[in-house]
Amino acid sequence: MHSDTLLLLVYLFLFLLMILIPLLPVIRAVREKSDFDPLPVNMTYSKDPRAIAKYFGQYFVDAFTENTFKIGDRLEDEKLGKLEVLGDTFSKIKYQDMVYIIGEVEIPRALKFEREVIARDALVVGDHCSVRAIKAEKKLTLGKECCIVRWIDAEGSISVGQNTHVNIASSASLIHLSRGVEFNRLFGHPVLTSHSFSFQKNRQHMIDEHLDDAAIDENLLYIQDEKYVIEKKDKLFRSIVIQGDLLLEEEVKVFGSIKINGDVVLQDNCFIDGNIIAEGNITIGEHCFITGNLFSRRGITIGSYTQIGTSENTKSVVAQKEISLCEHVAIFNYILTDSGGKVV
Amino acid sequence: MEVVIYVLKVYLLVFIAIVLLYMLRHFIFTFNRLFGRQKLYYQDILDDEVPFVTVLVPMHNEALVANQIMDRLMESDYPLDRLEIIPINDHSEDETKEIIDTYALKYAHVKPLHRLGDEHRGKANSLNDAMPLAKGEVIVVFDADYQPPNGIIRELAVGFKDPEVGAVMGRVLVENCGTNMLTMMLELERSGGYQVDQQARYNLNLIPQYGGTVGAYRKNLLIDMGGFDPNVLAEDTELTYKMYLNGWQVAYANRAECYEEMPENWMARAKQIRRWARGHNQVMFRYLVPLLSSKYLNFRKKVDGLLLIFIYMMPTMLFFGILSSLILFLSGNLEIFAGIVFLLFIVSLGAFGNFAPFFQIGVANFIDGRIKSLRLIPLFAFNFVFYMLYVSLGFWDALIDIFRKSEPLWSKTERHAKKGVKDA
Repeated sequence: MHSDTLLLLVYLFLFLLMILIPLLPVIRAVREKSDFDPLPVNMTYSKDPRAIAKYFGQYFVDAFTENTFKIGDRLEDEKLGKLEVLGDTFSKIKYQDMVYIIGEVEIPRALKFEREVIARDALVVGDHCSVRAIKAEKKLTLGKECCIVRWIDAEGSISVGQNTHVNIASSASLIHLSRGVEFNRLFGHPVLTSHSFSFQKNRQHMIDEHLDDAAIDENLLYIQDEKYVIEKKDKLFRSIVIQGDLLLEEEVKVFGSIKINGDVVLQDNCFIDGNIIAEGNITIGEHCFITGNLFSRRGITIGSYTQIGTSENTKSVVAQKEISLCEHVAIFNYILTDSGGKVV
Repeated sequence: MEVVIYVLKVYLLVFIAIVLLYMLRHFIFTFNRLFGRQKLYYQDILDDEVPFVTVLVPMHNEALVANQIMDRLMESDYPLDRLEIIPINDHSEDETKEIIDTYALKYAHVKPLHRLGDEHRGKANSLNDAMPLAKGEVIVVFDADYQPPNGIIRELAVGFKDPEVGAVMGRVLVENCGTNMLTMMLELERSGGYQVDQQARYNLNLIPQYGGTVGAYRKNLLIDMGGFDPNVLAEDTELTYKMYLNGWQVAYANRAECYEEMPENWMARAKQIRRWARGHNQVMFRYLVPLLSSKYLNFRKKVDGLLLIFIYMMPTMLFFGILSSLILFLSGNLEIFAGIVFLLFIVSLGAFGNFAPFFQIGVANFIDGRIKSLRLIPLFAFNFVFYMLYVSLGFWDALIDIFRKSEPLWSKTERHAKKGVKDA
């Protein structure tokens, strides 16, 4: 064979080889068919703010259902591990196993529970305690400067002492937070940063008092301004979309939702019968009443004697950044932040 | 002849500039998804005051999949007193009618619409006909081959708490991706389109697209905009542009995931993308000028809107680009810019420009935790040639549609429905 022809054939062979190289993993992938399953979707998922506690409760019942607990028992399950049943006596400083507490008990200060605590009756956790998680069948009270690593849930009310860190808290009843409490997710009826709820507001009363003035306009008010101000005591009967920042001066009333692509500040005594959705920060003054949800892609600050939502419907306060609650704030019923919240 | 050469050179340069823009876009989206601030959708809002929702399921000869989607919708956790389901039987010749009538007998909130007369067939016509019957303030649409999870209607509807949101789009996952190489590649492509492209557009306040299924829109808004135009095959893309041109936004819910069934053979896929390309280009011809002159869109949104609307025209432009360079080469005029710099530019464009969409697909599947199947990525080079052909045909169809008065015929994607998805 002529040397040029041979060279051409070699080139051709190398060319085909070079094309085949990236196809080798393809051939292997097609043959193996590994990782070809559909991405998992939880087809039965329904949003439930108490889901973690419910799942845990179900696991617990399934694991220890045959047992009638007595103080002093030590039980073991393959999945959940060891369980110690306690009364009102705590002999150790640190509990490494799961604990089931019987009777109305007050846990002494500075104890550490590395696993879950399940309380059949009302439970008081002393100051400076650290607990992984608590599931209480009745009322739950946390002392000062405690640390909850994962979550707490109670069928009764929850009261959280000063400077305590609760990661996730949910209750079928009221959650009371003292000053300095840190949180990520709360669900209560309502969540209250006050010992009494004397400032409860009535939506129907506000509607009866003001809604005769004008009918609600279904059309959106679209404002392109970089900064827009709704002046003191003004009333608006439609939803608004603001491209920039928004300031609501004192005693403004809006019967509709507000969307702000910047920051929004509500001065004292404002009333919003709708949702506030903001790309920026939401700052709410004192004695305000928002019947809908607060949603911010930044942070949220809520002033004293302000109420979010009503006892009739569940509403949410959701922020991607920090949430700061002053004392004497009521929220029906859900608070969520990605970056931590605090009572200040 | 000189004029022709000049025009070809200008065309080639403009085309290279457009390709560069697309390359940049792919990289910006991918890096945003990897390292940028992610925009939170509204799914974390817990609110028991929910809007009345009407779910529309257009069906034409969907007996193979009708039971599957109806069963899934009956499992929905949305409050029944705020929900109605309208399966639309669009001139089916199989057992679709009987199947949906069975559900209507059993469930009060299922109210079928049978289109059996001499009405025009097609998705847009079906959706328009259902509007007077729909009681919901929010309309949710699923194609018949979809499998909506229990909580998805709530997740889509909650987006309308934002008064600026006119439509919401969920994420589509391929259920039959394990069937063969084609379905797996479509899954990888889908992942790139949703996990990176749609989410990045949402993050960057650009133009996330309403996709016509696993999506929702405000009913009054659609009625005010005159409903869907049956002459446009991509009613979803048209709605997207109508929304933005009227000051509304489309929200993207990446966690509102729903399985769909993809075509399992290449010819069915060819027909599907040809239809998409035709519809998309119809929208391009109609909305290009309004897009550029809109008072509601800022510069960034206009650029993104342009790149989105042009995407199905690119293969045709590429064809003419190759043709131009061939003519210029054969006539000895290809030296547009002389020197090593231009050569390096072309080589870089070849390396990184062509790499950009594959990079996007790779990153999307990495985020999804799908690593091993990324070995299929080299095949997308061949896939590209296949798409180029059928997308180009779609472009010419759309061009002919400008002069044609009659409604285009809707060609349905073939169904398979071998199995349902087990709860994950």
